Amino acid sequence: MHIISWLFLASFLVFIVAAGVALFAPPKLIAPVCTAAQATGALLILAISILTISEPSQWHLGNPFAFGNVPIGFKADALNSWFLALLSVVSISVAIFAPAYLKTHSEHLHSRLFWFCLSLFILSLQGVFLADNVLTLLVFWELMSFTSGALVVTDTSSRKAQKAAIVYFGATRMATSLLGAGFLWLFSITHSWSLSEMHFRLPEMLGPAILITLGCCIKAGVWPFHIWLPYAHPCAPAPVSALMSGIMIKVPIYLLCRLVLSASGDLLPLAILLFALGVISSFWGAIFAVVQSEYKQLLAYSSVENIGLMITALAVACLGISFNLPQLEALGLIAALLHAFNHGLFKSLLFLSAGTIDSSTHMLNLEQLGGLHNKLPKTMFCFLIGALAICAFPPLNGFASKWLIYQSLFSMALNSPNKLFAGSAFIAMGTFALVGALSLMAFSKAFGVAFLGRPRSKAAEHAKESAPSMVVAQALLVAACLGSAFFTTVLANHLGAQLFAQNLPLPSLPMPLLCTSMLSIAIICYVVASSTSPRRASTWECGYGDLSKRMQVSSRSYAHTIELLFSTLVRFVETLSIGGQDRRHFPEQIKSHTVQSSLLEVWIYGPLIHMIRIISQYLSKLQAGSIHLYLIYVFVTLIVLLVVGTKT
Amino acid sequence: MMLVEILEIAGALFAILMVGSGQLRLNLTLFAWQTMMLAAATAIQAKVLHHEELYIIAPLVAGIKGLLVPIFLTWILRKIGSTYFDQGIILAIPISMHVAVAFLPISYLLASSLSYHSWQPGTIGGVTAGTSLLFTGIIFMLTRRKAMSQIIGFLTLENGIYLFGMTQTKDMPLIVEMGVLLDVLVAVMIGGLIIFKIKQSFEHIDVTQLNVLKED
Amino acid sequence: MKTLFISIYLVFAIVGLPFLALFLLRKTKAILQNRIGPPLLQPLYDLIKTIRKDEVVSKDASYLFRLSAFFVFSITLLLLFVVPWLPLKPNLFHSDLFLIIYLFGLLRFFAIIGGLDGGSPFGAFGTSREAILAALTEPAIMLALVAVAFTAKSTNIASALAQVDWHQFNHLPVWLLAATSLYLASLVELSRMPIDDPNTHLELTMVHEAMMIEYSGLSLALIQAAYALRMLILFGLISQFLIHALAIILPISLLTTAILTVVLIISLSIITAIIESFTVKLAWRKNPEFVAFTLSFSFFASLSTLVEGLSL
Repeated sequence: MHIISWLFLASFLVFIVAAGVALFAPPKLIAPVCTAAQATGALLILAISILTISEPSQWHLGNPFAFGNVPIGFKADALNSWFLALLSVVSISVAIFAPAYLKTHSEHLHSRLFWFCLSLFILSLQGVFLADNVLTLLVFWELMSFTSGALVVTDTSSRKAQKAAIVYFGATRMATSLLGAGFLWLFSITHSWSLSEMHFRLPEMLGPAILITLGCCIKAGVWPFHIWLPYAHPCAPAPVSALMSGIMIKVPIYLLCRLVLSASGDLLPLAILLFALGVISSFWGAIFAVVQSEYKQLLAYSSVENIGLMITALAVACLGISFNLPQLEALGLIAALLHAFNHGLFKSLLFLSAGTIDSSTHMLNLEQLGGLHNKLPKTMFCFLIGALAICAFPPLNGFASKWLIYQSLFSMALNSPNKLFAGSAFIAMGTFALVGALSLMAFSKAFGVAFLGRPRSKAAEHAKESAPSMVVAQALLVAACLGSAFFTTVLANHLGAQLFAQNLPLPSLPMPLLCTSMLSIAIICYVVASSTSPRRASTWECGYGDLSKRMQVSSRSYAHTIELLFSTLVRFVETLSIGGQDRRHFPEQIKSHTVQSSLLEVWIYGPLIHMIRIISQYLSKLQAGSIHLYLIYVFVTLIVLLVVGTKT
Repeated sequence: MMLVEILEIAGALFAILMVGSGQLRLNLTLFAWQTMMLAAATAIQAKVLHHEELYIIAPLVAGIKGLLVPIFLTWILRKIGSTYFDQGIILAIPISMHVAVAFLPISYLLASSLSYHSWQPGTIGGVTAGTSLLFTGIIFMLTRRKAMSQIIGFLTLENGIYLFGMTQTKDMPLIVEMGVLLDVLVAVMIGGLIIFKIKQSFEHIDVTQLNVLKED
Repeated sequence: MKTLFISIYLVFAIVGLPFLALFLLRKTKAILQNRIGPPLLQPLYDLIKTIRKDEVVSKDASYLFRLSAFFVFSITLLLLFVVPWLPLKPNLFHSDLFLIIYLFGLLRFFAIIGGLDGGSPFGAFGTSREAILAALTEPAIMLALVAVAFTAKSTNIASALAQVDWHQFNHLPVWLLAATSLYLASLVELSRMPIDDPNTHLELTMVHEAMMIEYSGLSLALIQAAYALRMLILFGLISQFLIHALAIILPISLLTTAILTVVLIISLSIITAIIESFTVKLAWRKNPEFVAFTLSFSFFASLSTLVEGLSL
């Protein structure tokens, strides 16, 4: 037991040292030392995860470090170690990736601030996963929110980053306050701060359960609270986006899993809420991902879509608990956890590829990229694997976890006592099929427009080859994806055995066989295809001759039909300004600017914030600035408290 | 009885498929098929349950509502001659079809919550189909522009009510049903002729333009 | 002895049936258009001609261009052994319905990549339309297969087809409606009328042909062969569903199933040819309306699995 606590203390200290080095060391030393420190820290986390994978362990920091009479306690069990393994793999890749990325972005990324916040960010993520009681959890949660917010805003000059910061901090404030309120309420029911006591026992815990769920939904990016994701991700540097989208939005999923794991009672309202939100999130995220032209926004919406999948699987688990079907509960939970793990892996891979493209061409607008298959061939290969994984194609890990989610829905349809739930399971399966096809469209667009064809702008033409460390980081994640796909059955069965006392058989596909057969087919095809090299000529195109760089697919035209079909949801607002002496008949200048207007912001968040502003303006009259008025407030409050205090 | 239920539900399905097309001639054809299926269901029910009156009603329904009315309305369409296509209003045509499909489980839930007597074997299917035809007719009327579509929707609604009545009443009074059929025939003829007159006066049969008659 | 017959049947089905189906499809179309039509082995002659030609690849294309053609062909071969489209055929990987759907998706992904490679505008149009049509039909295919799997309580399509449910008439509408929905979806997947005209590649009909317009030589031969095999797989699956629906009404022996499969595949290709000769190619804006019918049939199929209390 004390080995684990020493390992934890060691990793903690390594990250603090990395933060200190970032602040105080001379500039030349920062990158190598910080990379090494973070990689070491990540390896220590991996060690903790592997050691606690079968035997849980618990420890707490000594007496001076405590919150009142509550110690700062940590616990590592099967659920934690699962996420810790994910954290370590992604942190190692990010640590290898970051120095080269920082070098190419040195004008607006301050490397000291970056490394400082990054170390604290990974430290706080580790702390959140390992926290044993609520106070430790909330403290590390706040640290995580703050450091990630600071990382999002590293480029402080642009207006976009400022707006992103406001939206992001606003969302995390809401999430933390809801979580805090929910946990305080739970404390008043259970009278214990320990997280393992706090599993949901409805119906007496319905109120706090809803509050905590809403807080987690805001942080995870579930519809309709997902609006901070498309703001935060394009502004954050790529390695930070990888960590945020890969790990940070999984933290609420972890929290919900832990609270639902030993839950009991009638979880039906929670299940229905999560199911509806999950299905709508995945549909909404998929639709919006297809129409984006900015690559990181596409990835942000794709994260919303995948979070929807995980939330729906969690809802199936809650339904299993309500209907007393342990098989269904196990299936739902394991599907959610497996998808969280796999999504963390391939989403980080895609973000790191985005970072590589960004380093080479200094932009990520799909309308201006193109032809990168010559300049960035290795990145193209890693991106292709990432895209195949996220569209859930066999034999990769995305398919394995999505298959389990489908199996959980099918089992829900078969076993639920009410026909209504069976019908909703069918609707969810149909929606997820649609979502899968839409994500195919989104990622074939991203891959095809960015890498294939001819370069659409000077920047894409003059793209430079990426640094080898970037490729190594991506290759690490590709290997992790393939490994996760190969060992899916082993992982799922192990997780099931650890989390659930009884032996519940899980449906399984022969994944190793599928992986090896499809990979060998791929290798044979590659060998045969590259054995002959055909004659090259200009693109045929029915004989029109040489094509210019504008004569090819553009990101928006590829997705145009989706825009038309779902035009009530996806609104593009075009502003047209025509200049010149006689504007109508002889225009000299035509400027057209198209902006996507978010339905939720215009109809819900906008009016809500406007209302809050108006109320605040009225309330600000209370602060008249006169000392006498404030003294009257104090006097009145004193009287009220005395009266109330003496009454009880 | 099984065949009766299959025919009734097939009629309801054809009505839902009818909502998915904007071609007026296709709508009339599907309406004719739907009515024929209901007439066949009536005839088989007459044989199985020994309700003699239905032997008379079935060919009447098939003849009048299944043949005469669609042929008459097609003739009217040809005389109007403007267009055989009706684009939808409020909802896109495929979405209105999906809405009609969504009402099918609702009608099933309604049907299964009713209680049935012993002399009504296998009527859940009939009541489902009847209620679904009702909803489908209303949705058709709500989402279409042309006056001809309003008539077709009304006739589908009528089919649904007829089906519902046939399954619920023990002996459907012959006089009542014949009266209803006569009403339908007259209503359709008048409706068709009025459409013709409307077209002559206004040059189109677009019902959404009726609001220009509003006084302001 | 029995294994000999089975292997002869399998070889005939996999090698000979594509030729037979394509021949009858083209012959029917030709007869309806007052022509003579191509001979039985025309696809073979076309393949040999295409393979013998030189391959020319665009300057702007990457190595993924030719690789996609090879992938498309090999994934179709894999599908040949995963989808239970033929009785007496060994099925790999439990014929899991989600595996089938996502293998088709993988096929489509590489077809799209091949179309986008080389930066040709035709490829852009074709792939965009193919992707959107796939997105619209995917829920329909999923619901149809899930409804059928629901009757067998397992996601294994082969075991759903193998279940013995003679005289369980409440399964009958599920199989029939699922078969109809799959047929309409396969018209979309195979780019036949009224979605896309397989003869032309311009303007109205830019879906499938436009994606393969840049291919030549061996890659083109592979894609055409993959197309024929895909037609076989989809029509075979639909005929299996119809045969199973028939088996609910009266018991059918294995030999009858085998013969009926061949007959039904051929009839489906003739029906497709007749549809192609008598319908107009829908304008692109109207395609979602056609696809909506597919989704409706799938909804009907899945709803019919959930009802009980009917006298069926």
